[in-house]
Amino acid sequence: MATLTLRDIRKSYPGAAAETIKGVSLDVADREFVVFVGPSGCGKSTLLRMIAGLEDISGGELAIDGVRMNETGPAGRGLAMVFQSYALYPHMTVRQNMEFALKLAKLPVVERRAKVEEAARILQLTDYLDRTPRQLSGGQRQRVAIGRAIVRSPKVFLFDEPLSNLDAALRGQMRLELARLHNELAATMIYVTHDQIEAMTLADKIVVLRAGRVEQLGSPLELYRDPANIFVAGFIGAPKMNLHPGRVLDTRPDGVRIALDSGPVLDVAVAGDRLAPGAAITFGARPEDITVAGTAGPDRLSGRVVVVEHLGGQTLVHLETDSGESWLVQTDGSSTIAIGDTVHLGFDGTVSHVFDGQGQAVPRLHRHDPSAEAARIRAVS
Amino acid sequence: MSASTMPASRSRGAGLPFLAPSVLVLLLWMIVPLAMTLWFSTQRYNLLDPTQTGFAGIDNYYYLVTDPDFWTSLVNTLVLVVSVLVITVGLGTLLAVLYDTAFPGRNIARLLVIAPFFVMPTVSALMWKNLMMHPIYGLFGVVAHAFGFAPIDWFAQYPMAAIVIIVSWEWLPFAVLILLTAVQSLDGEQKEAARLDGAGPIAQFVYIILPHMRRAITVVIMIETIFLLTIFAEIFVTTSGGPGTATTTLAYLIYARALLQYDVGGASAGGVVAIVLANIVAIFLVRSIARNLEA
Ligand SMILES: Nc1ncnc2c1ncn2[C@@H]1O[C@H](COP(=O)(O)OP(=O)(O)O)[C@@H](O)[C@H]1O
Ligand SMILES: [Mg+2]
Repeated sequence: MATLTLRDIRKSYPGAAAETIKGVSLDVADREFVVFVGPSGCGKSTLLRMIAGLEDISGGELAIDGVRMNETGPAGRGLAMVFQSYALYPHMTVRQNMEFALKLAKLPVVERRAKVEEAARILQLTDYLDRTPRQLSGGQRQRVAIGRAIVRSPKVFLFDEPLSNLDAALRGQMRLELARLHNELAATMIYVTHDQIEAMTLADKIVVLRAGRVEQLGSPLELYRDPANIFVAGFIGAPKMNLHPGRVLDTRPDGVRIALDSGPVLDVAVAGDRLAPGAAITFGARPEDITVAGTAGPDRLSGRVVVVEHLGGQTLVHLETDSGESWLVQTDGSSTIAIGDTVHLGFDGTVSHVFDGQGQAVPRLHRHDPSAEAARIRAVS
Repeated sequence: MSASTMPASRSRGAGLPFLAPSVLVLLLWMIVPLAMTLWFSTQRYNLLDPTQTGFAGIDNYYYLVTDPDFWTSLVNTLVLVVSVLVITVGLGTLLAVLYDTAFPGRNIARLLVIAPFFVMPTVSALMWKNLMMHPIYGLFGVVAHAFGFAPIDWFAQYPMAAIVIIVSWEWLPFAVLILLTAVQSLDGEQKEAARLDGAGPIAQFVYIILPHMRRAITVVIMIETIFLLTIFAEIFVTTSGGPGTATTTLAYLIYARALLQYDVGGASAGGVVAIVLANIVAIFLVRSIARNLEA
């Protein structure tokens, strides 16, 4: 059992003008896989390091299994961390690296050996136990770093961008390994990344951070389906959501009629009670929710194709409207659209998003079928 | 010769004409004095007695090794070198680790610790002799007096210890400089990983910092040894090798033979021994460095 509770956690570095972490509250359940995601410099590492005990907590309370841990040192918290640089001890063999913590804990040699060998088996490192880190590939080093965490049977695993030093293919593979490991160890994990695909695929719960604040917190599907604001909408989901300005024409019980600055008039199924006619809004539509229509129309957007990316199973079409806006549409792989073509886009008002003048999402009226969403996310990642 | 080694060896041959001038200079620089020393060491050659000439065979060496002063000087050299090494490397490591952590005034402290390096040996020896260790005017004497102790006459009572202190003071900056760079190059995440693994400051030092510094420590030992074997000015200025032969090192013995007793032959024999000694040390240290570089 390992639960983690953050209550209004704050951090101000000495000498820094503003707080780096501006009050983060979070509950991590036992065996949950929580991912902190956000752009570089938003304070993900700082937050993780405060949980680990490597940075002092300036305000708020951190509790592990209900016990306040603010004043406990890193070793006393029972956590293990995997660093971005791996931080392996270069002069020790893989075995020595993994058993270092056990040796310091004065565990009997037999027990140590058993734990190291078990971890090596899980991570397929058995043949490499007597090598030094420099004799290993990047992926193997990464696994040693994880092995060093596993042998300690920590309450919570902490990962700080563990895959960012690997090449794309290896990153995909290690991502799967981590997901497998999470199941196999039934461990609580907190994982930091700036890569939203890692966040979507690994997380039970995603915490989107920006400038030291939690922008939104929820399951990957919740964030994908109902982003709370423009920032989350733009950050979660690949390819990125199209976000373009417009204004409200009319509000009705079954939705809002809006006019995009680039022309089309659309009916979107969002709650209109917060919006007044004439209010400036931002319209959001995911590239996979837009269809290429045969003809132009008042609810259609016309644009010239500037780039076509054939990904095999799908095609990404980038277009530019007469007003200069860039739009991205995802169509099927057999699409014959070519650069220079003029295409017309059709929108589905039940899956589109509207954000008010403050960038906050206007609640949508239609809930989605989760299984259909799941299928779509698999296709995205 | 296999095909793959051909280009390499050909290019090595092609570089020879360009290498030749520097090799030639190096040869003249080293071989000529070495040959002359070897030659003189087999000659009867005393500046005070021009009539004494001719081939002496191994007589000069015989007189040298049967001279008790020679063995004393070897022991003194060893004591000086080892003590200074222990003090500078030990204290240097400690200071390097200390100066790696942040504290107010760190930059000034660093500057102060480096400063002795810029004082020339004769000056620092004189400074220590007259300002610090002098039983009447020296700071140590004053402090001892203030606390009611009898001042120590360093150069009479503990001459070797006094020399060791002076030379250590001169060489500590070098050790700190090299070792500090080594400590600073340690990846901070390694220390943090060790902290999470439950390593306290001492365990971190022993298992993480010290192994990381091993190569730098070897370099410091090698370079210092080579310079410490030839320490002369400090002894000349303070004790002149005395009292008796208490601080006569091999370097000082050679000086005394050549320029106090005008026995060029005997001094050269001492010089040859010094060369052999330095080379033994060098071989040892180059080997250990090479092994470190491989590891
Ligand atoms: N030791 C430190 N001292 C002062 N400021 C720091 C320190 N570490 C990080 N910061 C600042 O805190 C902010 C968040 O950093 P970090 O947590 O590393 O971001 P992320 O991991 O999300 O990229 C950055 O603006 C960074 O400059
Ligand atoms: Mg970071």
